[in-house]
Amino acid sequence: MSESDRIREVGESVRLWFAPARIQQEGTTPDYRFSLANERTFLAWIRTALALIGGGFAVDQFLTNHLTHWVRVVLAVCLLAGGVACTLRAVNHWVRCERAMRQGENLPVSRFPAVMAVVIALIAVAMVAVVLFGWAG
Amino acid sequence: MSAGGRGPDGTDESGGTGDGSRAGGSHGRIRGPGPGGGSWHGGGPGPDPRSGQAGGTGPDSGSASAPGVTATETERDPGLQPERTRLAWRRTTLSCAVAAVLAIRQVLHAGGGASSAIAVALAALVFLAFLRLAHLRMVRLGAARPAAMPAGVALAAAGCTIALAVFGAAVLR
Repeated sequence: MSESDRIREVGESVRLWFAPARIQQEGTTPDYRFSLANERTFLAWIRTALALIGGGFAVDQFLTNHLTHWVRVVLAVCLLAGGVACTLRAVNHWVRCERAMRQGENLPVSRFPAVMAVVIALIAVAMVAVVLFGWAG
Repeated sequence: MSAGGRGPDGTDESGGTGDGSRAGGSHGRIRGPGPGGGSWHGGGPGPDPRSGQAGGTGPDSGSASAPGVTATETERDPGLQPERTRLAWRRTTLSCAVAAVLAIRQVLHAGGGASSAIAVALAALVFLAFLRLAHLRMVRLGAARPAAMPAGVALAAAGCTIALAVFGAAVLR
């Protein structure tokens, strides 16, 4: 897929977020249980985002004896940004799944979970290293 | 009840799967204002063995064969999907509460003053907005056949989450 295609796809998704009536015009209404399952998946991603945001707060508040100021701020901002990314992705994935179900297509695949797992693992390793080796202020 | 149900339209009933428990399901189909727990189990031992095959005997397959059967089939949900979705909203509200409390704690540690009072009020407001959103959605999920989540609800929930993150970035020490 070329870069312009991808940009157009993102633009299309964002337009769909704000024009929910358009989704309902497409295809047929799926079994409501599938829609509810999609909603629960969305909520699970929102919880993940909230956990990341809470982690950002926790780093800033509870690692004051272990980290210098800038390390703390960088880690907290990373976690908060991860939470925001997770939230945006939750909405996008929900819309795309809903549309795919209405049109009888395959559910969209995504590399976001893998990317997020790697990023969280890196942050965790960084935190362990920072705390263990006492790069403290 | 089940014998009477199968008499007139025996062919229709046997066309579906598990016709015995489906006839039992017609007992417990009134799910609205009555006592919630009682109506779910009103059909006797029906719900338990059927929960596993919820996907197979969905409303779609029922509507294809006989509309009368569809009504009894869909008004009670063997998979308890609305219930699970409601609990998912509750869990998410709880997560939001934890994040909001951490945000407020952060502000209070930074010091007092008018600006921090405003910040605390903002964080509480975000949580209250999410609480109201979740409550309204949970009320809607009480319907026999809940409609899919409107996109506005998804956007509002995402907005609350992002508001907390932005708030957190603003009050980092």
